[in-house]
Order: sequence, then structure tokens, then C-alpha cells
Amino acid sequence: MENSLKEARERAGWSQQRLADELGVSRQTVISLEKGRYDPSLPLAFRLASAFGCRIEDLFTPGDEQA
Amino acid sequence: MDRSTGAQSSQSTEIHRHSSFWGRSARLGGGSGRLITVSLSLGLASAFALAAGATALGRAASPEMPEAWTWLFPVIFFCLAAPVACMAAWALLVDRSTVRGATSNPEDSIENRWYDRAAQATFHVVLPVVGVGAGLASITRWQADTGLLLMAIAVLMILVFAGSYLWAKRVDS
Repeated sequence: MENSLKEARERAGWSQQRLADELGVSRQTVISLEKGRYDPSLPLAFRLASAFGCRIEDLFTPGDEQA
Repeated sequence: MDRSTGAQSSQSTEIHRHSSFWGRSARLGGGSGRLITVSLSLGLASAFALAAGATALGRAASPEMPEAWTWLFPVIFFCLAAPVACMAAWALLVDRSTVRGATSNPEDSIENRWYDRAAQATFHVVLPVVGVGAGLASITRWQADTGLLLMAIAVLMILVFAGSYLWAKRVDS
């Protein structure tokens, strides 16, 4: 799955630790999410969307093999 | 600033204001001092009971135990068990949301996935090893000290778990 988390975070002016604190997860989780190495659970995806004030689909798109 | 991000930000600030290094216990009430006092009391009492029990078991199994060992063993056992017992009591009593730096949703963190993968790998490796070992021991009638054998299995599980956890961490980082 592809995502635009890093761009959204940088637009908000947040550090990775700040985003991790907002989501209630570890900073390593944010790092792995941004690199696309870790797909969030549904509750986490909803918290991400809420944190950035957008929809889940605005942050995550299926990869080529899933489209 | 977006309204939702502002609300989230003030919420996390509120949480940090009420958190501390040792945290507090919702069950006990009060502050960190009460939590630490109760944890230490429970931990030390548990360690004492465990040391006494282990000594009694040892004496029953080995009546010829040297006199000096009958007090040295429980002292060493107590010293080793006390820190672990105190921390275990703290972990059971503390309210995680009051511990500074603790993640509020650890089940969503990637470390949880690494732990699950390591636990699965440990099961899939240790089960065949123990199974094959049991079969070979039955065929060859190989006898081994039970305590050492169980310790070897525990060490194997620790090594496999640690290696699997580090590998999963490397892959996902």
C-alpha cells in the first residue's frame, strides 16, 4: 500500500515523534508507516485521518498489485 | 491550524501533564509514592515467600545440604528475585496512561507485530526441535538431567525469539 503520510506530516509541521504522540504509537511505527513497510490497523488509519483532518483515502492508496 | 489537529494536540498535552516517570495506580489511588510503596512491599514479600519455598524444596530434595548453604541460598535467591518481583508488582498495579512516554495504543505499534512474529517463529522452531529430540531420545534411550534439559529448551526459546524479533525489526525498519 502506498501513502502520503510524510507529506501530510511535513505540511502540518510535525516531527515524527509529535505524530507518534498524537496517534498514541511509537516513533518507530511512524517511521515504518511512512516508508510503507507497515500497514496501519483500521482504528489507526482512522486516527491518522482525524489527526490530519482528511479521509483515509487521501492518505492511503492501494499498491499496483492491489489496484 | 486545523481544528482537529488542535484538539488532538491539547489532548496529548493534557495527558502529559498528569503523567510521571513511575505513574500512578487507579486501583490504589494517590500518587507515585503510594504506588512505589505498595509495589516494593508486595515485591519484597513475594520474593521472601519464593526464597523460603525454594529453600524448603531444596532441603526436602537434598537433606545433606551444607549448613552454610541453608542460609546462603535463600539470601541469594531473595536478592535475585526481589527486583523482578517488585517490578512485576509495579507493572500489575500501574495505570499505563499515567506513565510518561508510554504509548497509549501499543497494540497498533509496529513493535507489537515484531513480538507476534517472534512468538510465531519461536513456536514453529522449538516445537519440531523438541519433537524430534524427544523421538531420538526415545529411540536411543538417552538419559539427561531434567533441570538442564528444561534450561536448554528455555535458552533455545529465548535465542530464537530474540533472533526473530531482531530480524523482523530489520526487515520493517
